[in-house]
Amino acid sequence: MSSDEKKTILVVDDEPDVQVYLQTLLEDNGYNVVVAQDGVEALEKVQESRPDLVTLDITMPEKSGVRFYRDVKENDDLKTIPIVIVTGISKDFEKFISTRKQVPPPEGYVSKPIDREEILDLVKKLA
Amino acid sequence: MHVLVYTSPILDSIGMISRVMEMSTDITPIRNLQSQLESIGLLIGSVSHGIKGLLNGLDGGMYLVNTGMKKGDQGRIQKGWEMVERNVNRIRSQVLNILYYTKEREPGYETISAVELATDVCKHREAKAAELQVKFEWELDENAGNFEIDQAAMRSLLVNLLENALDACRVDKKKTEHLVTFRMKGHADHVLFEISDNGIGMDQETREKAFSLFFSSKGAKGTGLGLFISNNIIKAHGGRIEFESKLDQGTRFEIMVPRTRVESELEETAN
Repeated sequence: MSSDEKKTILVVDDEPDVQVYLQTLLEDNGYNVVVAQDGVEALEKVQESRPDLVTLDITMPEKSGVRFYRDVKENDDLKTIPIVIVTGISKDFEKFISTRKQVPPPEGYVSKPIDREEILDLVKKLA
Repeated sequence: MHVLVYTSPILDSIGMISRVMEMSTDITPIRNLQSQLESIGLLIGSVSHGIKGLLNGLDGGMYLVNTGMKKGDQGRIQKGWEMVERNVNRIRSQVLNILYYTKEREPGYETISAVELATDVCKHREAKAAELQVKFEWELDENAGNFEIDQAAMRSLLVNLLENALDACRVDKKKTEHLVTFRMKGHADHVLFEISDNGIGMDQETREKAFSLFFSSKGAKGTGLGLFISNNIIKAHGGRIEFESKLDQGTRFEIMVPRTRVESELEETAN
């Protein structure tokens, strides 16, 4: 696969171990990967690199994951980019969903510890 | 005290209420038991979330090591192995925290040298700081003398705060250079420790809840026990723990530990 055929995934997580893990896993499976460590950086990178999909940790400081999600889904230019939520806290995820009625639900959800097959299938399907 | 009151009307011969019988039961022990059960539930929930995050880190490390071996990529193997080590160390400190929380232990006071304890703690985290490429400086007062403390508890408290400081630098990608400073100074009636970092800092919510049980800013990566226990250790020693922190700028903790144990101080005041 030549580099311009590769799809680009934006990985948003504040934990460096998860960034390295997801980046390596996705690159091994033929994707270009861009990494952001918080919602502010993610918003810059999503506009800059126009990824085919975003994986998003919503339990980051300053609720920045949730804010990033809302910003993307309320932006006509960006809202078609699929977002897969990756988190270890299912309770937070439910709360997040219930308070976000005005924006559409995320395209996918993966719980930590990440099942490699599951996330790769989901990325393949949505990206 | 919690009291449960039952009342029952007593009727006379024509069916009118003439008296009321009241039975009061002290249910304080039941309420205490309920709140203990609630804490255990919260602890299990918090620990499970912590384990999920740690498992994810271990999984990631294993993935890098395994694929690194297949590809013969030494750099990848090393990166993966560091992830495994880091997460194993986190499991170790979480387990120690849980044991500390669940076991009501009597502090075992002994008189020890402040500079020896501080040196031991700093040396313990020196390699970790180097691995994370965080500059680690320590300034210890050689003439700080002795103080009477529960050595194991105080050591774990200082290690815990240093770990937090290093962690705050590790996850901060906004600065290129990170510095953690550990200071210890002896005063007439107390020993002062100061641990500062220029890591991610805390937002307002984190600052307000920093010492609360089960609150963690580390998402699924923390149990919310570390600072809660640190605070309890310091209280048991009759000292105080304070901090100031600014988001994106860093955090500074100050820990004051009296030279002599609390009880003896109280006796002196009484005399």
